[in-house]
Amino acid sequence: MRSARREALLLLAPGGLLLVVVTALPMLLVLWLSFETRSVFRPPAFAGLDNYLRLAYDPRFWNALWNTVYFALVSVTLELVLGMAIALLVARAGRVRSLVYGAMLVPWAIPTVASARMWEWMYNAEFGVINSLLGAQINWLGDPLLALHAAIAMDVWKSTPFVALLLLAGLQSIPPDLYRAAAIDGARAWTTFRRITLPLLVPVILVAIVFRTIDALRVFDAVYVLTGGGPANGTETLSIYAYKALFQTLEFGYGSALAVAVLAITAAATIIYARLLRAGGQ
Amino acid sequence: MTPLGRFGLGLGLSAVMLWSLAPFVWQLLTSVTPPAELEAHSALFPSAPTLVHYRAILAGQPFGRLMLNSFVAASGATLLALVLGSLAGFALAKLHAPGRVATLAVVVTLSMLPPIATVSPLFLIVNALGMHDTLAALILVYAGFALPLAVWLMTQFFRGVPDELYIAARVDGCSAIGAFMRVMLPLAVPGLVATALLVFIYAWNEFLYALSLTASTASRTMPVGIALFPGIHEVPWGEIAAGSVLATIPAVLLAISFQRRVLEGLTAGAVKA
Amino acid sequence: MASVAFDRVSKRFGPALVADDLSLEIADGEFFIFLGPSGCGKSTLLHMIAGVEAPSSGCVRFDARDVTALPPQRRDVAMVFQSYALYPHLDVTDNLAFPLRNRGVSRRAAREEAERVATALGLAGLLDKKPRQLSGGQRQRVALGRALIRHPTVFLMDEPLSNLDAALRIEIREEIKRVHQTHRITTVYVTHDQEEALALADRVAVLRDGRIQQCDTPGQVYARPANIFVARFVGTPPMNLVPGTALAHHPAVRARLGRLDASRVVVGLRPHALEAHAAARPDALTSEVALIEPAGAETWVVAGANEMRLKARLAPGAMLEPRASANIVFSAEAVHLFDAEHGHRLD
Repeated sequence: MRSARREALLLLAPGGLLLVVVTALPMLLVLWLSFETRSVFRPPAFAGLDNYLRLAYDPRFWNALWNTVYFALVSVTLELVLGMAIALLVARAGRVRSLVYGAMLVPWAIPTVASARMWEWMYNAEFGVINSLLGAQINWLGDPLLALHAAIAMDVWKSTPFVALLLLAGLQSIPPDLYRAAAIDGARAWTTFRRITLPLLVPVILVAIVFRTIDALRVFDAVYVLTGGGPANGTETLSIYAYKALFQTLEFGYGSALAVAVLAITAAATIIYARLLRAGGQ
Repeated sequence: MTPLGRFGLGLGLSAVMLWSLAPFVWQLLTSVTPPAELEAHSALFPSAPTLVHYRAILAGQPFGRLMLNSFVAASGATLLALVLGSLAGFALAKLHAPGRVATLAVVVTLSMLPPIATVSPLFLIVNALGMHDTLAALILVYAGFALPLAVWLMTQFFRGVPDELYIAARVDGCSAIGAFMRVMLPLAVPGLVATALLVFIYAWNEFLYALSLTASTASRTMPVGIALFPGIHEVPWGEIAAGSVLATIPAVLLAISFQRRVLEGLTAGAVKA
Repeated sequence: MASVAFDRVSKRFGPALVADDLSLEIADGEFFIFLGPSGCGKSTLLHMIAGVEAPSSGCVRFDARDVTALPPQRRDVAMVFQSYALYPHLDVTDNLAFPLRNRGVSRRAAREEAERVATALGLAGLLDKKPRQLSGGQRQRVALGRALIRHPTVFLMDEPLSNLDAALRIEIREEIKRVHQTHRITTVYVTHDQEEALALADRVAVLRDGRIQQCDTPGQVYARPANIFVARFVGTPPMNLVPGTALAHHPAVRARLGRLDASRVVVGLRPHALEAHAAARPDALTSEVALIEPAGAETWVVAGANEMRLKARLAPGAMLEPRASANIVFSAEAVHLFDAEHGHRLD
């Protein structure tokens, strides 16, 4: 219906407008900003690719990039492996299923900031429960390398249940007849898993990887609150560095360039995974 | 399953539940531990649970105000996202909207946006509009960011309502909007609930924009409050714990009460059932 | 009540052409059926009458008025669906009353009317039940009631019987016929079941790939199919089709062929018109029995000779078995002739 098209466009318009103003427009603007120098001390001036050149030679940028990529790789891998194990376990939960699901939703529901403070307290060198239980005095958040891994552990704790629930949904969509056929054919547990479960779960696994990787690449809240990016920039991710450049040293131009870098990396990951998803779906 | 297998399963499930709940339970215990005991290497359980930390943050600091701000911002964003999202989802699922697949693809891509990428321009825009430190700014921003999720979910749910019901409603005398309100919406209630839950929890937890776009208790939300806890000499762990518990309880209660809806929302479209 | 006309209507869904320059007029009060294989776009034709789909080109008229741009809620059309499309969240009364409420009828008046219609359709005790509590037949009655309650100008039905089991199908079919005879509302009905079409229609349009193959009364469509497609589609068991050359020697066929070239002709013979005997008969086709198909009142004999396979009726009292020799007789009137290359009728 010709007027149906008009109706549809009318219904999409308000939402579309909000999206453009809040998302699309700022995305274009941040690109524009990244080509300027703009700070509290100077009026905005066009600076071409200066910010990006500075970025390329900025060791702190490369440090942040490395931290971010490492964080993403390790946490997503751990979340996937642990999530798979948990999903397989909970799939057999039977009657206590609701209870377990409820518990598993708690880490997801906890505000990230509250979770970070929680872990900060648990990691506390003197009074934290982790050290108390271990009977040790490890300065978890005081050493750059340890702190990065502590942050990874925190993210894994928070996100693994979500991955597990996603994988669980995938497991439940596998027809049970396949398992029965495999049992009749004499397959043992590991073989069944490798030959039947895993291949059928590939689409869901890819979806989980995509979501988690993108979330991990753009991480800000949890790490910022846990460590503030320190010690010695040991846990400073790209988003944190960008935030500091924008709102602490007030260099809007350079900060925007850093933000664009985060955007670029996330976009690249999205495209790669989109290709993989399309291929995996076939 | 063998008794040993059953025991192993029970053990495993208990481990999963312990993993999920222990840190929060620890925070809960901390929040009622008297200040003196906090810094002593004593047992895990407080000897005399106290509410002194809760009193401190609610009376001594405007934490209650921050919770209220969070509630207003999250509710406002949820309402806006639901209205806009369900209208858009309806149009995409039932009306022959042009470029339907492309629109959905764009919408999903927008949800992958890193918040840091748009915080600088939005900061400038909000300032330019004179909306710095207002809840209205937060509501609009949160609704905008949650919109891709809302549209995605509502499109899926509306797809699940048979086309013929829409056609029947039109033929029976409803305009498109009439059919939407009288037939489609009532049948998409599970979708609305799932969407509302996910949007609310997202807005409730949001930190970066709350940090950047607010300046005072006029609009500051709870996550900012928790992150920037004032502490003159020492870090007030007890109060932080109390604040964290207060901040967590609404989200956790919602998630657990509406468990099924939340799970539906989280896995919508991810699994081809 | 109105006549419905398609004026050079075409409809395209992407690359697929669902209606191809269709023109036809459905008379006021007529029971008109679109008949065709599943998925050939018949539903789309209904949607265009209802206003839920717009033609890619051409226009739709009610009486003389061009309604192509008119939205569905203003066309005064009622529709019954294969899946009933009852509103699951409303009970029977509210389902029936829905069309009236949309047109501003008061709640009380609408309820009274709903109760009246429900009683007329035998649904009196079910008024406060939800659709999921009803059987298939009851649901379809509610769907009928909802469509009738506002005395629409045009009645549209999209394969309403397909979801019902065989016995129910006959019952509701009779209900539909009765309703039409009582109210005489212009009815446009869509189905792939040719038996249904023959039983209900005043006129039938046989569709294939968006084009009308034949538009005529059921009797004519059955007796004089316009082409091979219609000949095979209408009538059960399907018409036997045989190359002209195989039967050119048969006197009945030869008489009908006249001057036509047998190699350019396909001969059609309905199984009902062929009789298979065990004993020899003058002018019979001798063939070997391949299959015997008992079917209640009839028994079908499938027999072949010279790469030709024919299905015929077992003559009363005859006894035949597979591999036996059958003698098949038919008259000249039973012969249909079609063009071998293009399929159209040749007489």
